[in-house]
Amino acid sequence: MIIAQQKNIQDIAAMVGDCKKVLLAGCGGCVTVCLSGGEKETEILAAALRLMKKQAGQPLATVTYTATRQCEPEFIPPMDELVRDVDAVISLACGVGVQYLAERYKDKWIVPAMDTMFAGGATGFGSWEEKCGLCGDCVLHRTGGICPVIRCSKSIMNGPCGGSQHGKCEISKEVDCAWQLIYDRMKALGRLSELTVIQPPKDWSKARDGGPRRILREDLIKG
Amino acid sequence: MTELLPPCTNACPVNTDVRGYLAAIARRDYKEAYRLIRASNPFPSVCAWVCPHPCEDNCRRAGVDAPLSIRSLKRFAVDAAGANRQPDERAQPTGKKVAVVGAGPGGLTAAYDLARLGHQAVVYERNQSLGGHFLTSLPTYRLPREMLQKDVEEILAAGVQARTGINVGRDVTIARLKEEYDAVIIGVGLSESKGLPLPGFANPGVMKALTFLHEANTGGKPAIGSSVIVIGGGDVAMDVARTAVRLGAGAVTVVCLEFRDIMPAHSWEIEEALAEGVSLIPGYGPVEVLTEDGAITGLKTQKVKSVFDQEGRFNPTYEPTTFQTIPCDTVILAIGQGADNSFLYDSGLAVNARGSLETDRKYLSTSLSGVFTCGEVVTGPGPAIAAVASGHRAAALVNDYLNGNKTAACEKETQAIGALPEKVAERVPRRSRQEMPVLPAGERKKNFKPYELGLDEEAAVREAGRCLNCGLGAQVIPEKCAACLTCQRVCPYDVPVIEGMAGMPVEGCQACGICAAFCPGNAITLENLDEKGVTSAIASLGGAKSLVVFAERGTCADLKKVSSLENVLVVSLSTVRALQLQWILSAFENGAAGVVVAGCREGECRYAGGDELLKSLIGRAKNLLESIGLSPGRLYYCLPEEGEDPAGLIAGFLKECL
Repeated sequence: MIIAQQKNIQDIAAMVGDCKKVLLAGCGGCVTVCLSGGEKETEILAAALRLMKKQAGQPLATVTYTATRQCEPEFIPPMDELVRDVDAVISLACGVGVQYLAERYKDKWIVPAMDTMFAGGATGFGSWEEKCGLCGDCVLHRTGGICPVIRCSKSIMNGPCGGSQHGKCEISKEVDCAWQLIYDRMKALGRLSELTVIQPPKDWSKARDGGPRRILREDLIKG
Repeated sequence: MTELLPPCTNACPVNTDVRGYLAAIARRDYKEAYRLIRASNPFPSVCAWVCPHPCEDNCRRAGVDAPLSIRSLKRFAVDAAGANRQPDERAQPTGKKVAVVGAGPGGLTAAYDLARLGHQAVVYERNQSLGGHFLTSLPTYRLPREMLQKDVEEILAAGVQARTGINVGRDVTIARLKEEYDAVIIGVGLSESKGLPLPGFANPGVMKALTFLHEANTGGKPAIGSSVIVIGGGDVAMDVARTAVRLGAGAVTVVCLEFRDIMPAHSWEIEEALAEGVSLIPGYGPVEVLTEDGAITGLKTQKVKSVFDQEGRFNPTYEPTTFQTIPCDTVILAIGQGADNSFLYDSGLAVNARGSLETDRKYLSTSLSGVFTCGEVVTGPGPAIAAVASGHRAAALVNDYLNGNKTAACEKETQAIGALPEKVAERVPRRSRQEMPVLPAGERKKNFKPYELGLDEEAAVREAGRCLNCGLGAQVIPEKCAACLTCQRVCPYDVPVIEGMAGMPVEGCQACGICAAFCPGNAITLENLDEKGVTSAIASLGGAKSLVVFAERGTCADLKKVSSLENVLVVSLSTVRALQLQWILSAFENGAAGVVVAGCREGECRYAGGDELLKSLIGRAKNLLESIGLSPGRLYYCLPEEGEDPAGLIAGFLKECL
């Protein structure tokens, strides 16, 4: 899922500094699961902004709504009525949701409450880790289920590099060397010899380097 | 549909909302506790003294340490509610009249319900006062008669009319009542003690339990000697034996067929009788009352081999050659009760082969249309609360009959919440049960004064706080649940299961509310947390510069002092660990000068776990307050050390804030 975290409240407030009434739009998808932008966080942020503006002598009115998901156009229209009489919309979705709102409400000031961080998952209550580089050409079958694209600091395909020290990456003692992990896992699987096959340069055009990506499923597209 | 109930409520014949009234006691709302008790039982005061409390036998807290002391708490609520009670609501008069024969628990309950439904209910009672067995059979040391009087007065205040001193069957027939009234309910109870057709039992020195108790309870002095044998193993036998002790009998011995472990009397009745000096000879059956010159000299008994046959029917067998003779000068029979069928005279009602009233147990009807029954005459001997339940049902059926409803009121099907899972029980903090304080046996056996002293307020509040709030736990709002696993990760009892969405097994959920505090989708709600009550309490500040104190409901007795402080609003929660961040913000938004989170001293909280989560939440709240320009010092997490008074700490903080 997409992991996002809330911006500093002062930064959020600054984005709507001249507004008297705002809609805070939460999202029931990934940001609910990663505890940053669901209904509860939306209400907390709304209350905190109201308090903050009240302190500053510039009262702010808020309304809140949490869409099932902001990354699906069908879930946006129920907000139409609420959006009509606000000066701005603060989206607590990932960057995808913010853009869907901006597309639908063209004349409205739509701002993000979140920093969209990465594709990853939870490692426990309150901790998340990046797991996928969204490269568009998955190699996990060759690397023992450990992604070198995102978990190796250099995204190298034939690791490890010389910066691997006692299983850690040279960038930080907190960061595991992905290629050490790959080596250990392939060894445990009895597939170490597969790592001797030199991987050709990766086709990064399938990743972000090829420009904005789209998927069109001809079999599903009507007409 | 089968209704799932807490086991205490399910075990109670009138489905008393035990959980509800215990919660009311825990929050010191004693009038509400009394209202809830009385909502299903017009004999709250009587039952507070004498109910055999099947609720306690089924309490799931037994799986943790010991069941709740429920009857003691009922007694406390009844005492604490005082006299200033709400009058009953009554429907508009219907113009219909119902005669109720017998003013015991069943008959009076039926009459009370009918009166509240707008019918004119008239009770016919052969005694000069109302109450049935409560009046005549229950020893006064177990039930002070002013308690009965209190309940009876409230029943009469609901519009029930009473005609006492009228013996139906002799002074007026049921056939006549049927002509005069739109319906008749027979609730005459089982008022006759059974005799034994054995040698010597016709001796005038052989007494019957109910006659003996009636006389003793109405100030008489039954003629007993110095050595009394009571035959029977039930609660009535214990009442007789203990009454005989109080009347001054030197030796009182209970002889019964049943072996000690299968005696029908409740265990505490037996234990209290033994403590008062009663001797017990279980497993022996009476053979003959021995006499000399007409005076009783002893009871010959025979050793019992078995009481029940293979089909479980009462069918005692004896050791052919083992006899025991017990010397005595008085024998009292307490081997069961039957109906006094004199009410049937000229009634036209069908009777069975034994001469007893023919009844339909389900619809409480008789052979005559419009004549119904209730209480022990239908159900057989049992606790008074079962007769009360029967009275409720009779009233509902008669109401249907009077309104011409063809579908008779159906009995709802209920089921108890299942046993507490072991893994949950292990994690519930242990709390000792508050027992009813009683006078020492040596002192109480000297007279007929009540010997149960009642719990004091702090003990009662502490005891009520032991309730596990069965069934008031987390409910998931499916359309909001993101199956994010948060509830499972934060639950101190490891209860939630995620199968497509979160599920909260009712058997395990302890209703603490920690999951709701952290659910990112606001997808969890709990009756025990009362989120609406919390938000409306905060909103009630209305901009007033006050201190808001979030505290655990009921268990921290010291907070009573806090709530009495001026400018302090105490918002009680199931546990303070269920506190939600938006409530803190909301308090400041509504003008709070400061917010206190009143933590429990170590080992004081009724719930396990959640401390670290609460600390994190408070840390986040302080950071947020600082970010928005409010001093984090206005939020105070009050965690008193041993010997520190939380009220004093909070009062100090209040001074700083205002």
